[in-house]
Amino acid sequence: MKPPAIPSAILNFFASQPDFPAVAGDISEEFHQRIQSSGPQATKRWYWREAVRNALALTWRELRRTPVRTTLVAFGCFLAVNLATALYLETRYWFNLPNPIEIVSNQNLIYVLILLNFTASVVMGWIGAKLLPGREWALALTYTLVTACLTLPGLWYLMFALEQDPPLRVAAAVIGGHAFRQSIFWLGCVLVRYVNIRKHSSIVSAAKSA
Amino acid sequence: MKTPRLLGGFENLLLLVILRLDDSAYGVAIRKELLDEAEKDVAIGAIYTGLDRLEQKGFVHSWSGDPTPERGGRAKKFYRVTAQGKKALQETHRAVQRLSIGLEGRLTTCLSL
Repeated sequence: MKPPAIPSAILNFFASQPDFPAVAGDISEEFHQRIQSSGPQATKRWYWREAVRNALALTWRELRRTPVRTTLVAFGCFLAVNLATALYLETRYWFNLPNPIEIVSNQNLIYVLILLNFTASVVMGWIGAKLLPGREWALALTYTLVTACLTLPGLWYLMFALEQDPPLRVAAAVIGGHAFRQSIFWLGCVLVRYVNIRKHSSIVSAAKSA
Repeated sequence: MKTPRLLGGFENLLLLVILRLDDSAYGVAIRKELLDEAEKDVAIGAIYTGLDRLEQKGFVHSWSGDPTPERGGRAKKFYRVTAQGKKALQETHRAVQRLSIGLEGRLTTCLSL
């Protein structure tokens, strides 16, 4: 009997670091031992529980591995993504095109910004994850934390100090924009992680067949 | 005087378990020993996090075993306590013993509660 597919995928994702194939192997071994003693249903429940527990434990391990370097890379990625948008908007300003606040009501500009942010976020997610092999997931989480720390004070300033009108619309545009960037950045990181898992799986298969 | 490197609670347990298991200390065996002897149900990922830290400190040494089919073709990772690790374990135990002197009565009261 094979371990359930979804928790196995979760385990492979979180235990994919080059020095961590042992984690998935140990849980798989215990799964086969438990089937004999506890039966298939109880073992499947145990496997699900272990997949979630280990995902949390391995995330914590990844976050603690090189926190300073991960934060610096996340900060660099945040700057690069925001600079791309800022440079584009600045160029528009110099050419006397609508200012950033008009973005909300300017449909064409929104499409260009979406494309620009998509490209910048996915590329930076990919580059950042390549710089931190085995810590792609930690980078994605740290990026979110860095974004929240740097954006929330700015948002507060925009809404309450500048009293931008209408405040809710501006807040929704800023939060929506950052949520979009977050998800695309995560996509870039997860893609690198997925490629690494595939690479590692092919090495394991080659070793098995040998 | 050189300050001894004292181990944390979980590190201490891990080193003791590896010593007990001798050359057969790997994830599943370590987890089972922790559960049976210390009644501590720890996730495999947390065990490897602790082992990784001990390896960085030079207290344990690891090597890979052969891959098996029930492990999905993945190799076991075995651990052994180094001389440095044994020294840290001794220093920690000595410190605990010294701190426990004169507390036997109080410890008995605590344990009986």
